Amino acid sequence: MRRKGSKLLAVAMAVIAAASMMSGCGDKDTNTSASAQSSGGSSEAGSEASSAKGGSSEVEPCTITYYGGWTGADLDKMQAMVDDFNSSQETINVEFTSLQWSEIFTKFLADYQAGSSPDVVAMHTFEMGQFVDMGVLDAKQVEAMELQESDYVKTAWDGCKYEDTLYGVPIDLNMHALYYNEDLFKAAGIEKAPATGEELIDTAMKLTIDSNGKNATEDGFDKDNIEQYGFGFLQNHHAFYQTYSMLNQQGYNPFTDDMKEITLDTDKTAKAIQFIEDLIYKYNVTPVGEKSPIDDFKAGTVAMIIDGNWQLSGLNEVSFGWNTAEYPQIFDEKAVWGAAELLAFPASKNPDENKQAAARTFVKWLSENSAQWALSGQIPANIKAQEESEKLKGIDAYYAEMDYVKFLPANPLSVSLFSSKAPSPILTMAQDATLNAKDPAEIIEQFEKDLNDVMKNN
Amino acid sequence: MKRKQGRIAALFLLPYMIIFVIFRLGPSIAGLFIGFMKWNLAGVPKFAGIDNFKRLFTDQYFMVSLWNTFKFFILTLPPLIVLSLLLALLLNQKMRFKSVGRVVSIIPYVLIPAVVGIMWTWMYDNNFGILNFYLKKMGGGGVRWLTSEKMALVSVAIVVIWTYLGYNMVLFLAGLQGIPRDLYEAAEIDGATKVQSFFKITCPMLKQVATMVITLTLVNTVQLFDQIFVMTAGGPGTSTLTMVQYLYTTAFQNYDLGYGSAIEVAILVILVLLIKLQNKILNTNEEA
Repeated sequence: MRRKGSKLLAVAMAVIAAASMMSGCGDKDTNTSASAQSSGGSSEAGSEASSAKGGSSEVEPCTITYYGGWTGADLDKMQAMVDDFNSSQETINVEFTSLQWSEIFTKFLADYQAGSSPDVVAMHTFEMGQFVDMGVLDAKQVEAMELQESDYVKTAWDGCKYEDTLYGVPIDLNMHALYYNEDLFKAAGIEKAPATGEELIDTAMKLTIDSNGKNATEDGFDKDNIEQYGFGFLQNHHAFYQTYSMLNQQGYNPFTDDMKEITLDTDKTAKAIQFIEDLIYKYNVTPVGEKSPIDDFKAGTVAMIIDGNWQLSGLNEVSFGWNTAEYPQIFDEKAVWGAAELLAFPASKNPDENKQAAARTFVKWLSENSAQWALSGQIPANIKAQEESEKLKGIDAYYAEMDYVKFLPANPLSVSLFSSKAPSPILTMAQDATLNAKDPAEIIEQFEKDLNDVMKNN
Repeated sequence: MKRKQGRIAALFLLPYMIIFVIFRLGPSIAGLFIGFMKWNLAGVPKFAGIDNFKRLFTDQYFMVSLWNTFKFFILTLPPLIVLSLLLALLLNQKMRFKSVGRVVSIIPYVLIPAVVGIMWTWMYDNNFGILNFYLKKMGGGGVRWLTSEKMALVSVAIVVIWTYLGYNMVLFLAGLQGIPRDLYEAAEIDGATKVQSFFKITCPMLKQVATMVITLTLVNTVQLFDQIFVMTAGGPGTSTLTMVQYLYTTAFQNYDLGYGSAIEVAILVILVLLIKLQNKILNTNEEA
């Protein structure tokens, strides 16, 4: 009898061991290391790479390391670009490693501490200030590339600056815009996508339909049995990004690169928060606690959503007609939240001039040949690459927003202030509005306190 | 002879001991030292005295994470003991397909926690998730499983109970099968009912397994991270912020390694104290 018990315990232990191994395998899915094969590249391309030195001396054959934080389709596209670079010449071999952003940055810092920094690291503009503050980025490498501002989208170029120094080469831009289901629009007799706040509410109400087939503008509409919502958006940190868009639409941006303390304009911030709350709780056009608007949109249960250009490539196979429109102008002027990704050169405790020159060559090539990056829905920051790129369906709305896109600042504390994971001032603020329908004045008071606490404690 | 056997045993243990010292003991001791530093991983650590540890007592988020972790333990422990024991009793009976039942019960435990988190997030979706679909079909209102500050922790607790139920069942089953049959036979001869046998024989004989289940639940609760990370990221607000999630954010997102290490030390101290307390309570009862 006892032996049977021991046997079962042994089985349990084996299961634990198996589970541990499976967990290990799971982790590997997010990790890719692309060792490049530079053999077989044309000698013509090789000499081109050797001569493209961004103002540096001749490059001797070497292997450089490149860290990024992309996953899914973006990772595949970046991988393909690295492979293209490697096969285009025989001098420089790029080893590309991609993990989740937080994990790759931890690896980057640990490598820096160990004296083996990568040669190139990708990041977002708002994350850059933190690394500049730590002293782990090398602006001289960017300067040595002798880049022309006119070759890049201005907002992306400016986003790569911290205290007037350029710390990276912009590679792409991301923004919010409006996705809409053309079939549902047609069925509701709506001809064009909403461009203002009033139009957004009106259109969303017509597209919000209950189980009796009545829309939200009709008498007898049953808000407790809605089968199709008019409008959806992510109710996490992205809801804060929308608030940020709306603050900028009122000509107000309280967040700066050098802020040490913040006092929010109560009136303007309250207007933005109230607009978001009204969509959910007053007009009932947005589902409470929506987790994945893009999936709801694909399923046809939400007619319009706010989401980023990174979703474009995933909409190829939907069975209904769809399109995008610029982010609605809800207040006085056009503005929309956005971010840019950039390639930076880590400072090194043991600098190798040949590898630095190779890294500059690679970054210049990647920037100028980023047209295929657009195939994953990205907007290349390099204008030449933009012109050469194949335009994905729906990208036009994003291109139109490039003139008024607003980035979060590259403050050294931006990663903590604008974190997508708790405890985060913006997450609490966004979810107090979207999930708890709290009084905007109360939300603002808490938000201001949370922001100032982060700045005081770090 | 014994000495020779000891040397051979030490030789076999050596590879593990080397790994243990390098990857477990060393980092743990280093973590304790880093707790006294101000360090962002990139720069040179600066001695900060006990500042990081003092901050623990005034940090509202640490207190919130501590409270959430405690609530989570209270939410998960009773079901994980009672339900897994009932399941073990059921699967210890002579019945058809009991082997299938045992295998099916353990499957959630072998799934990758992140996959479990994603799967349940879909099922929990407020508007289009399968749970609310059936609740609405039955005439009830939808539940905001992961998007209500009141429900989110409970919802994650349900997932963790679902995950560990089968594993605890196996532990109890092993315990049940280790109880000598003659005890039950003697009780039956003495006229004891099934219920009396359960409370007077089964329960006392399973005390050690129950102690192990409580300890494992405690350790798992304090270490809770994967499901929270995937399902709620600590939200809504801070309603599912647990100690390890807070440690992760502090150390690996904000790069405040010193304070992150102080949180780690605090977690360790709390865990050791709780296990000591648990052992003391159970031993006291035994003596009584």
